[in-house]
Amino acid sequence: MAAPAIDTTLAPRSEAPVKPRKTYLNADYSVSSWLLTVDHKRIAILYLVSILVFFFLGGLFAAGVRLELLTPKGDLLQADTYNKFFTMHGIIMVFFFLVPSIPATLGNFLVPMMIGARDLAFPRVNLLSWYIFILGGAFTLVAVVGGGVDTGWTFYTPYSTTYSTSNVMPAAIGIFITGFSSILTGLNFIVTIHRMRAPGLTWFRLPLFIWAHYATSLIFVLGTPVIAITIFLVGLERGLHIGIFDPALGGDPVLFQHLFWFYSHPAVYIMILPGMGVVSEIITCFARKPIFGYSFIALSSVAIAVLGFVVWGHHLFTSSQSVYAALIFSVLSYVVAIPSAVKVFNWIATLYRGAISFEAPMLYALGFIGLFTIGGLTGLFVAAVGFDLHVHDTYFVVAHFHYIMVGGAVLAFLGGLHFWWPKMFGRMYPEAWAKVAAIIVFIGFNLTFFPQFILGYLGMPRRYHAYPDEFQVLNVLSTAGASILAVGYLMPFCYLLWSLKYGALAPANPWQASGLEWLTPSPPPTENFAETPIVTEDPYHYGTDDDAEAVHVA
Amino acid sequence: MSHEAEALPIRLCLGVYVALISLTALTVGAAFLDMSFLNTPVALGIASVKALLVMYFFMELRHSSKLTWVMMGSSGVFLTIMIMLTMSDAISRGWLGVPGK
Amino acid sequence: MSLEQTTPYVAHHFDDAEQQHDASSLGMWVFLVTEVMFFGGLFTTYVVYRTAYPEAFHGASHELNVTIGFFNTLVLLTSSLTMALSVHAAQVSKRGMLVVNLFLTMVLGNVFLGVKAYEYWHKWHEHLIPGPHFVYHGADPVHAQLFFSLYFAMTGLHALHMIVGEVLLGILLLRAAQGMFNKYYYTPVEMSGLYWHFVDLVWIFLFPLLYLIGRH
Repeated sequence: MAAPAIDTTLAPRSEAPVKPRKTYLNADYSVSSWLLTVDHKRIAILYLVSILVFFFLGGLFAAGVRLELLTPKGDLLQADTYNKFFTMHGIIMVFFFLVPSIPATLGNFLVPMMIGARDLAFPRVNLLSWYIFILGGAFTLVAVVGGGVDTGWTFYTPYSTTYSTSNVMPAAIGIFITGFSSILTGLNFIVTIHRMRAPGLTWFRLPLFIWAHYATSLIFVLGTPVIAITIFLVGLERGLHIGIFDPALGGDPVLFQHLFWFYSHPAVYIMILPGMGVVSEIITCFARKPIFGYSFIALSSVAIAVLGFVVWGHHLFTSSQSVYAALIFSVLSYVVAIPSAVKVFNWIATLYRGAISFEAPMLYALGFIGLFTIGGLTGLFVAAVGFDLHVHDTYFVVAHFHYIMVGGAVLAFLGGLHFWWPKMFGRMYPEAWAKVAAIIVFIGFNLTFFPQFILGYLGMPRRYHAYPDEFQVLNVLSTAGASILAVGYLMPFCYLLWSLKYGALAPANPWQASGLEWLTPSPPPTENFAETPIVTEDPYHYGTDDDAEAVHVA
Repeated sequence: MSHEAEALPIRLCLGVYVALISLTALTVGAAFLDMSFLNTPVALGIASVKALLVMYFFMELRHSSKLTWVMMGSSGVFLTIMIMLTMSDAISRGWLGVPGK
Repeated sequence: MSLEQTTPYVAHHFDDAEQQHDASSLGMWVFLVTEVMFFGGLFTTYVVYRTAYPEAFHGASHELNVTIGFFNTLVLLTSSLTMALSVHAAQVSKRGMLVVNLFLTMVLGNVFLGVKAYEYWHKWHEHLIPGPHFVYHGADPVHAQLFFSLYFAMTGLHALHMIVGEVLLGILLLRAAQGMFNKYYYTPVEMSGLYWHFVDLVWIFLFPLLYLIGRH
């Protein structure tokens, strides 16, 4: 594809001063116009800034963990401090970065635009969800500043309710509150996708990004209330000694794990499904081919969302869950691999004989496919009861879910951010830098987490600050990889900020992509579309005669 | 609804109300009868009928779109999944006779 | 401009009033789905513990007063009737009837909460509040305490939802008195009605599961 041309409609044609086009960014510059905005695009930006702050904070805790593990002895951090570091890393990354990462930023920005709507169905509820997120985040930060939490992000009882002396309450309240921001976002997406589609935009003409977000929203709505009530009960037991889960008070701690994972396993799909939506958009665009097996990818998103609710027991194989239940959950866990594999096969079939070009978003998307596949296949390992007994609570599990959450979700987030950056801010990012960063992230990620598969298989348990000497080589490799990964994260942060002022002006559709969001100017006006678009064809008309012409002209 | 719609008839409201009160009396009465293992199913059955009456008439499910039915139905399905799969563990935990299995 | 509207207000991002109403309605139902799952966690806990300790649950349930529970159920069902009549009144533009029924719904809701508060006070008096000061003379006090934990968690959250409902009703009442609702615009009355009926639904299940077990 040719270098993106400067949008002639934006450039002044004569010396006479030209009034700049009204966009959602320059509509008003006051602080209150941002903090009280009901524009889904501005709320997306608010979310973007907030989750990046949390990502940075969670990254600092990860850095502490990796630095401690550089040497076998517990020298940098004491055991207690180390417990708090991995706990805060988990809580912040899961609840305050990964869960809202793609839906609340790219989703908020793009869901209305992709379906030809002027906003989400409930704009004020959307703003409310951001404030709830910030309030929940504030409680969690209080927990951090007040000395941290040491329960692990899973809050297992009775340790969390009875024995831990750390700041469990503020963190639990923070997570309880933040849950409602997820619920409101999910509710808003479901209603918007059902009720606000442009004329002619039938369900099977929707972009796969929308399907993925619809499936994600189902999990938000069905799962999040359960974690809310569970955390609420933990709060009751810890704060008021009302016995629910503590065996000393007659309760069953395994029941807590059931309720917790009823949400928290589907939450993994909250993190990965939007990423799958992003990757579907990027792959088909840069392969210049219509997506292969559109309806299979679309429906597999819904299948993953539904099946995701029946597999949670595989987290309880060693928690004195009955072997019969373990058997059921193990089998069901294998079933959820089917729709995931359907997606991977379809992406690969889309690439086959495509006119592939390797822009930065495509590099991230290809990285996603490889890393998600490794993460998913090792997921099958640990879904087998026998193997899981061996590697449970070892670094094998840590590596497995980081391949999904970082190799999958974070790479998709970065890919999507690059892909839609021109649309969001009207500026191109520097392509060469972006490609280098994408490659550094890929290398750094693998160097960090692949050794952890071996460590876990050899028996190194997770959540300890010290380890036997023979594990040191692999741990040093992992920490070295983490520092490379950090560079890979900091690079986009710098050049994306730089591009806001110095990047080339972006045309309306720099990638010659299909989709309604590319019909608007970059950045879009507040009302998105001057006129409601009317959709007359299926999505992804890549590789057709029209498309070839468009690429040629560009 | 913002446009003119068929209003909920008062007589229907009153009829549903009488049915709800009667069923409540019935469920209290049934609780004091010894029906061995059937007491709880009967109580839940009556409660479900009452719930359906409230939803179908008071909450206007009878005039709602299919989508509304699907939404409400899905909450029932997923609640059932949560209870059934959790119980699959709770019930079978002692079967092997090995502590912790 | 008078508050009496004949053409409803349509927010800028909707095409027409029907789309706006459909969105509100679907949004409310989806919200109720989240509520089902929210209470669902408690019901799951209840099922697991009652299956494990049926005798303790039956015994503990005998500490609850069926007559009071029955009375409160009637109060709540009646409030659902007045709520349904409120929606009817709004649909046929009868302002007086709307105001009276909203007011009655509020009063009945408050009666329910008052009775609930009396029951709580009674339990406090009998040392049946779970925690360090729990005293229970029946069989298996440890697991009887679990019953009371669930009793307070379930009825407490239910009461909290009632209080939220009362606030909603208060706002509706003020607006209804100003004549804001008529047959062209009554979505807020209808949506609050859905919420109120849902709270009623939760109680319809709580009453037999908490008050009526092991009575024979």
